[in-house]
Amino acid sequence: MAKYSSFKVALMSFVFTCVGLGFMTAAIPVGAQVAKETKITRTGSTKNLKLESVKARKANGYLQVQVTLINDSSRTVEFNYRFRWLDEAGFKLAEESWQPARLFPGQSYDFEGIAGEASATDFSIELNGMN
Amino acid sequence: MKLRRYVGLLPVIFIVACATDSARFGGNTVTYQDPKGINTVSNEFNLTDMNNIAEAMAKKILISPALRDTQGLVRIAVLPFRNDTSEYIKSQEIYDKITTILINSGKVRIVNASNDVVGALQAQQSGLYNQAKTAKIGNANGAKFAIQASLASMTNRNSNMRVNSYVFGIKLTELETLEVVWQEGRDIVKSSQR
Repeated sequence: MAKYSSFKVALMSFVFTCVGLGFMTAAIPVGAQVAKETKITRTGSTKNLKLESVKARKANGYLQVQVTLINDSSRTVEFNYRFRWLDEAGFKLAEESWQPARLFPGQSYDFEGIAGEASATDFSIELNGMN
Repeated sequence: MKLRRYVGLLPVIFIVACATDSARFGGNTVTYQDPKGINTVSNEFNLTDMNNIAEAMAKKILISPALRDTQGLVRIAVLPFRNDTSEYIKSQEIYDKITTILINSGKVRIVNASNDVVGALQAQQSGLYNQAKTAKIGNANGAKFAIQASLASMTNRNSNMRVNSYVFGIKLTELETLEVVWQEGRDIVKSSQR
């Protein structure tokens, strides 16, 4: 019985630790791949742009994000993208200028963004398909 | 009688006035554009290129090893821009956009030792000012680093196509050692059909 109780306590501690850590890291998607599509806002025709990965880390105290896209079609895709940097409360700190990009069929493309303010803890990416 | 003759001209005057106003205000449709949007009106260097370069370069400076290894505020001087293009480039605007991001990061201070600023400081040492209320010489903080940027361009054309290529470069030099401690560049290639 005592053995069962201690197992229960250990299990509860594990669950609370996991939930706690999850809560703490929810706003700061640093150090690993983040939930991919949740960070992307798509406008225009972007269905051929397959999101391969979104990685985030802190570099010298600034949030750095690297995104990999693949043109999953048999034609050249033109699109624009930009980053929005958010603070802990979800307020927008900065919105970058649109960047143009062009991908050949099957081409993979990495682009990165760096938050210019150390208070940026989260981000979103806008993709705008041109064709 | 004379007045009646002019009344007959009123419709003509009205039409001419409307046409003139239309040319001034309604002839061309004016639309505001997103200043952060992409300008593809021509293939010359434009605000889109300027914004993209400035944002990328300033942020690369912030995460450069040179700044990472410097404790506290980093003081940076800005050296003259080298324009090796055949275009008139508003180089001060590129620097202003870069330094805006650097200053707002909270990590960097820009040391402005331009002739205008130094001249204003020197002017305060003249007998013109109340000496109790003047800025004193000898308290300026020296810069640890200096940034210097350049832009070069190349044009290739044939009977139906024109390609403009721009090469932007920026380097960070440690003033004490005169060593270039960081350097970055970005190429922009724009083509248009003739």
